[in-house]
Formats: sequence, C-alpha cells, structure tokens
Amino acid sequence: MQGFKRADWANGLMGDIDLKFYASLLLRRLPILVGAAAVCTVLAVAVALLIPKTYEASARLVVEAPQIPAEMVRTTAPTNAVEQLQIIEQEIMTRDTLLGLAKRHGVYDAYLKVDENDIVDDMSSRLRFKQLELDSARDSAATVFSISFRSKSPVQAADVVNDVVSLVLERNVRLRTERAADTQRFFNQEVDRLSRELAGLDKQILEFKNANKDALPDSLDFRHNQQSSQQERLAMLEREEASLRSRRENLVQIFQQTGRVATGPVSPEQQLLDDLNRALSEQLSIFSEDSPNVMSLRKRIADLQKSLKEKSEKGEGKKGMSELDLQLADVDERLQFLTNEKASIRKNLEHLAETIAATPTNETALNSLVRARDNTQLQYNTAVAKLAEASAGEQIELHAKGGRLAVVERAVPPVDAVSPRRKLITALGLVGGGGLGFAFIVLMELLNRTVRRPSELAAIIPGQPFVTLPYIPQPGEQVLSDFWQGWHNAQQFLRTLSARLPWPATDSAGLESR
Amino acid sequence: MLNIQLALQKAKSNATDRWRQSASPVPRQPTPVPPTAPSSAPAPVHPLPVARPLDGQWTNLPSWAPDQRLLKQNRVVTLDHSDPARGSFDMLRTKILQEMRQNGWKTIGITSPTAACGKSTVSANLAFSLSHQTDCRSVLIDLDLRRPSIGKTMGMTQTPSIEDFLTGNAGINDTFVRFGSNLAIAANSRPVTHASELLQGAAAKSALASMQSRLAPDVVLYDLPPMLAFDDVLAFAPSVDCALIITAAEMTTGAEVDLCEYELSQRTKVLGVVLNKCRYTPEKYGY
Repeated sequence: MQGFKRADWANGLMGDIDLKFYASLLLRRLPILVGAAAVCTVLAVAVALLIPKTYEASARLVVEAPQIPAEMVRTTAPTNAVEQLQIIEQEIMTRDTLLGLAKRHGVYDAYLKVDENDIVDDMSSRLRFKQLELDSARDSAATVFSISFRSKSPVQAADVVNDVVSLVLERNVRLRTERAADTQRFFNQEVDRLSRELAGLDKQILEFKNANKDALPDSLDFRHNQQSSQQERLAMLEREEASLRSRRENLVQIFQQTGRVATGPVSPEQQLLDDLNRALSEQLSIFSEDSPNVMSLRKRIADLQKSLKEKSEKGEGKKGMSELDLQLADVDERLQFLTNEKASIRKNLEHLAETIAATPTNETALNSLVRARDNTQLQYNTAVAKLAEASAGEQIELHAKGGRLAVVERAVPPVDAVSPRRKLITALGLVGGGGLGFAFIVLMELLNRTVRRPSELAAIIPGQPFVTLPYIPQPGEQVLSDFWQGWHNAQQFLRTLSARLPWPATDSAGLESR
Repeated sequence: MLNIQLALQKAKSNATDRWRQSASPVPRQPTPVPPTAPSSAPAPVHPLPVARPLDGQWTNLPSWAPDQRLLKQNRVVTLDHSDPARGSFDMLRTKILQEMRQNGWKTIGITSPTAACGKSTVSANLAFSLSHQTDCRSVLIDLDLRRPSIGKTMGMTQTPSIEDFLTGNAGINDTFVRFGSNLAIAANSRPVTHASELLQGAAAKSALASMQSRLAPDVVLYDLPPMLAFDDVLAFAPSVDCALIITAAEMTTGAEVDLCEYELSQRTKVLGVVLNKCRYTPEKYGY
C-alpha cells in the first residue's frame, strides 16, 4: 500500500498534478511576469526612441569579366578583383583619405574639437566594404562588392558612399593602367637594352672579322687551294729559272766558241751576208776565183761586211758582243723577274701558312662572339614578343576592355533608418522582460520555503498531513481563480508599497486599506 | 520523527485500557431525535439530537446562541450544512475523535508556529463540528491569553476573563457559555501579560481539573498561542494529552513546522499537522 502510494506520488510528480500545481503558481505570479515584461518593453521603447537614427547608404560594384577573352590577349594588370579591391580598400582606409572624406562631407559638426584619431576610428567603423555572396555555384561567378556608409543624415551617407565609389573607380583605373604601363615600360627598356647589346656584339664581330679577315675560317679552303697553286707555281718558276740559267750558260759558251750568238735573231744584212757567203762558197766550188760572179760576190760581201762593220762601229759597235749581251740581259732580266716572283710567292705562302695556322684560334673566338650574339638575339626576340603582348595589354587597359570595376548601383539617400531597429529592440525588451520576470518567479519560488501544498508538508513531516483544510472565503468574498488571485495580490502589493513610499502626503491614508 | 511514532505507539498500547477505565461506567444511550426543518428556526441552529441527558452542571451554564451571519463572516462554517468547506472540518473532527478515543485522550491543544495561521478559526469550526456529535461533550477554552480571539471569532458580545477563571476568582458558570447541549465555550476578554506563568501555575491546573471533573467533557479544546512567539505553549504542553499543529499554506515555512513538531513532541503527543488555507487542492480529493 505504502509502496503503491509512493509510486503514485512519483507519477504525480511527473504527471498532470504537479504540472497543474506549477501552472497555477505561474498563473498566480503572472502579474510579475507581465509587469517585468511591460517595464522592460517600455524601457526598450524609450531606448529605441532615444537612440539617434542612423541611415546607411550603400552602392554596389561589380567586377566585370575581361571583354576580350584572356586566351587571346592577356592583360597585364592583375585580374583578381578581390585582391584589387582589398588594396584599394586599404588605400582608402588610410588616415588621410578618411580625414579628407570627413572634412569634405562635414561628417562631424564639431570637427575641430574632436580628436583626429577618434575621427579615423569612427569613420573606418562607419565605412564598410563587403563582398556580396552570390548564390552561384560556378567559380567564375561575377564578384559583387558593396560599399556602405552610416550617417545621421541619409543624404550625407549617400554622398560619402558615392565619393568613395568614385575614389575606388579612379584608383582602380590608375592601378590597372599604371601596372600595364609599367609592364610595357619595363619591356621597352629591356628591348632597348638588348638591341644595344646586340649592336655592340655585331660591331665586335665585324671588327674582329675585319681584323682577321685573312684568317677567317670561311676562307680556309680557298687559302688552302691558293697555297697549293702557289706552291706549284713556285716549283714551275724554279724549273724555268733552272732552264734559263742553263740557256745562259749555253749562250756564253756558244759565244765564246763562235763569237757569235748562235741563237738569237739575225739582222737582214747579216742574213744577207750569210746568204752571200753561202752563195760564194757554192760559186767557188763551180767557178774560179777570178770569175765575174765570184768577183761580184766578193765585192758584195766585202761591201756588206764593210757596211756591217760600219754599222757596228757606228751604232751597234761590236755587234756580236752586244747581241750576247742583249741575250744575256734578256735572260738575266727574266731571271731577275723569276727571283722576284719567287720571293713574292714565298712571302705569300708564308702569309698563307700564318693565316691558316691562326684560323682555329680565330674560329673559336668568332664562335664565342657569334654565340653571344645569338643568345642576345634570342633574348631580344623574346623581349620584343613580350613587349608586343604588354603593349596589347596596355591597349586593353587604356581602352578599358579588361576586367574592371563598374558601378551597378550608385548610392541613393535611404528612406528608412537602419538603426535603431526599433522593432527588434522592442521585441528584445518584451522577450527579455518576460524572461526576467519568469526568472524572477522561478527564483522566488525556489527561495520560497513555505509549505504550499500537502505533498510539501509530507516531505517535512512523514506521512500525509493530518488534514488539509481549504481556504475559507468570507461571505461576499469571491474565491478568485489563480489568475485573478495573482492580480489581486499584485494590487494589494502595489497598494501597500504606495502606502509605504514617502508620497507627498495627500490622501495616502485612504489607500492604506490594510 | 521516529520518537513521535514510538511515542504514539506506546501511548496507543497503554492508553486503550485507560480509556476503558475512565470511560463513563453508565453506558450512553443515544436517543436520536429527528431534526426538524431548518426553516422553522431561522436564527438559532437546527435542533440537535441530544445523546446525553443534561446534568446539573451543564444546564447551569448560560446558554448562548451565535449569530450565524457573523460566524460566516469569521469563516466559521461548520454550522452550515451546505458549506463545501465543512467536509474538511468534519473529517478533522472524526480523525481527532478516533485518535483520542483510541488512546483515551481527553484534552487537545491547538497551536501553530506563528500567528495568523487560523488557530481560532479552526478551533471554532472544530468545536461546532464536535457539537454535532451528540454523544460527545466538548469544551473550548481560549488559552491564547495574549491575544484572545475566540470571542471575536464567535461573535460574542460579553466575554469573561480567563485569567479570573484560572486564578480561581471566577467559577465555571461565570466563565463558560453553553451552545446547544454539549458544547461549552470559554472565551477571553482581556489580554494577560504574564500568560506563561499563569498557565504553569498550580491554580490554573486545579481550575482546569475542577472544570474537567465538573463538566466531564469528552474532548477539551485548548486554543493556544503561536508556539514560536512565546513560551506559553511549551509551558502548557505537558498539561495536554495531545496537540495539533495548524500550519497555513504559503505562510508557514518547512523549518518552522519541523521545529514546532520537534519541540512539541518532546513534551506531549503530536496528533498531527494540519495544512490550513490551502488554495491548491488536488482534484482527486474533490467530490
């Protein structure tokens, strides 16, 4: 029986009975909850009304995709919009810019009295850059930024935002074109430098070639041919010289033997003389000395000899001697010529040998020069190509065809204030007050050590109470429901409170009912 | 708590004989009288069935009839049969009677931890409830000497001085009034400063003893002062057979109840703790 009762009681604790008890407690304490909620709501409303209105204007910027596909012409400016805007944001969030903005738009009335650091802090807290998240799954979704500013005046907020937007745009364009121009300038300089270097190398090669024009590797074969032909010629000349020398010796020998030059040209008189001598000998074999023919021949020979003698005595002197001399002189002259020729050929050969020997060294030197020039040329070509790209990129930037910032929506003076959010504050006050009241009730009931119901008494004194007597109303006194009892109690409490408070004593005695 | 139960058991075991011994040798012959219609007597209460013949002592007591409207005003409801709260008091009465008869107890002190728990109201209600029990003679004495309230609760116009009665200066007939045939009430008119000394005095003991012997009540109700305020109850507790603690819901703390119960159980039998003014009554007790 006892066990059953306990189980029943435990069930009751979780079941309807206990819930009913707490519900009745709550109903009776409801005025506290309502009062707390009302007081807090009134306070919240007051606070919401007292907080000055703040307006927020915002503009939206979009980062446009490059108009010319990046596959065709790559722009040289950075394409990361977030990065760009962050750079610009940092530039705008600098002390000077913020102070300038505040001053231009008169954000602070008592401007001179406020500390500049405070202005900078306040401005940077009012000005907000935000990247808007678009609901797009693609990576290449358009990037949208918003720039917003809070101010007490809606027009001022919009003005500041538009000012900042124009600053951002200007800085963005400057940033991009500067970068593009910088790139182009760099490649320009590079091309210039390389072309100068190239020219220097060309000149060096030319000079080297000029300096070593006989010993250049490309004429080596020619020189080898030349060398062999010269050597052949030298040999031929030597042979000719030898034959000339032997002829001279022959001439001298013949002359010493014959007194005349065996060879060599015979003058017509001599020829005639020879012919006459032959004819005389022939006549002599046929005719006697005294024959007229012989006589005439002799005479003619004698005349002829005489004229010859005269001639030689006159001009050509000793005719036989001079003929030899002539011939010898001729030969000597020829020999002399050959010697000279040989000397020149030898000199030539020597020179050729020298140049041939020098050729490999020159070749190496020339090769290194050419290599250097080729390298430079390669660099130069690359630089030129890059320069072309850079100048295309710059053109893109100049014509604003690259990815750039564009204003989607300029800021307009807002109609509604963002702060204070009066509804929210009021709702918070209501909920907070209710919670506070509820917490107060719970605390009160936790701290309330009085016995409220039989089961609580049973917890102190074992067993159920001897008897539980209900509250007995007086006649005319209505038994109020829990709810109205609570209000009644609250009324009573307020009455006693107002009676105890030191009011300016008028008719407070009348209020003091109990 | 344990010692109470032990004491209760002990008391039960040796009190049954006492009850039988002290029970009146003459077997009571209850002769129930059918009650007349309440409409015939508007001002007085309806006639009660008289079980015991009125002896001289009781008939000598001045009769008193309460103003029922005033009683209602003072939350005394047990004379009205239709009042819903009456059931609880009748239950209390029956429980008390059963306990007392079982243990042979005759006197009961009604007290509470603090003031304003409704002792006097409960006492008055209990007294009228007992008066319906025709075979039972009851006496109600206001021993809350410092703040007498029975007279006020009952709506008595003339109240005697209990001090005089306790000191022996006034007789029973000067002090008690009779309601119906089996309820004698002694209200108090003026406060007594040396209440505790008076209650502990031998004169008081003899006065109460003579009252008991003369009126031969079955139940004597002592309306005592609050326990924690004065030492009156502690002083008088040994003189009562048992005691009832009245606690008021949402007024009396658990610690007070515990303390009272402990203190009282050291000196007399504690019949139980009554939870008064309970607004929250589980519906399962509803009828």
